[in-house]
Amino acid sequence: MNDTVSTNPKAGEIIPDKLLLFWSFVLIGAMGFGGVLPWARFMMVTRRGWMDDAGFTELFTLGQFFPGPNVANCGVIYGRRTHGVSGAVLAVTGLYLAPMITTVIAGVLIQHYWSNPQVQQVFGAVMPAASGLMLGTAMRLVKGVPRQVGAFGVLALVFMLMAFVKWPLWLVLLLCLPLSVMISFGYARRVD
Amino acid sequence: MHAVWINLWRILWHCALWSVLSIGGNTVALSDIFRYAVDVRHWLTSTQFVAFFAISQALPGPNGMALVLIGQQAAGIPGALVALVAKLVPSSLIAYTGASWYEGNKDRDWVKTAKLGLVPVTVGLLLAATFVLTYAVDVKVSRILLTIVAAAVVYQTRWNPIWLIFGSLALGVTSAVTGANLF
Repeated sequence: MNDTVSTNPKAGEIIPDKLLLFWSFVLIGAMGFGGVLPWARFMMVTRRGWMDDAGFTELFTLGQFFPGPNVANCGVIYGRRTHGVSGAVLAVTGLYLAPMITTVIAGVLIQHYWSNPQVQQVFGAVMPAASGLMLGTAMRLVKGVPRQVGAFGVLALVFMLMAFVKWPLWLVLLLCLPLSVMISFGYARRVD
Repeated sequence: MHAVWINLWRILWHCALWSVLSIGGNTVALSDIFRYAVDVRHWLTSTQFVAFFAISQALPGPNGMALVLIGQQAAGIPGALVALVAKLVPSSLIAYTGASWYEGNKDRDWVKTAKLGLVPVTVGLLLAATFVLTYAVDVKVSRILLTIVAAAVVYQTRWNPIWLIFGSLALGVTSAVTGANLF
């Protein structure tokens, strides 16, 4: 058997018991200011020593491949590797325990104070910064798009359909995903 | 009473759909969530939508909790719980069942090529989400400037984005307390 398969435990790997697994993910979720990824790495690699940096990168790449929140997917995959179904459930539940409580409290507060002009002022500054954060991220990701006319054509088509034509997402994906993958295969064949 | 159950069902179904469709991260579905929650259902205004997004960035924990706030706005705390469960279960099931398959096949040429084909779609979705957010919120020159500065910081530096949120929070509080009303 290939012992590099990260969906199975490696020889000599530290396996946390269920309580420690759950509690560690509670901490990751509670501390994760500005995204949970750095905290997940800190907890799983530095603090608990469950894996090394290369192992974590491997786990994260795997988690990113699937739809949904990346770190939650890492929790599912790591929980499964150590304790099967119950491990996966414990990791994800732990990860979302603290954020769920703070989010619901924030939701109640915002419904209460939304019409206050001073609150509006504060949000007037935070909201543009948050959209700028998205814009900067998107600009960075554009650099990762393959330098091909077809790829940028698909990008423009997706943008137009979502932002202006306002098709539902499932319809856009149904049209554009096969198209984009076909174009990608076309370019791959031409290179060969 | 009946309307509450219908809303809960709508939250359940759509959050589950977004969970499965969010290839490349939470944020790619954002413009579709906006379309449905603001334009179709009128659960919240476009400004509230952006505010929820900003809050979910500022609070500790995974991103993508904006859906929970939207669920709460539409159907109270049950709505928040339904949104969270519906957004997590489908994608987790896919990761659970797909992980070992992907691990065994990720180095095959066709998997690599197919993955490369996902990139333009993901980035196009993200740009559309950015457009929708900016269009809803940047109605003043001061706000536009703040968006440009924030985008430049993210693009040019490796700072943790949370400092942008905290910095703008300080700016907004100052503006509110001094009565400058810049934003």
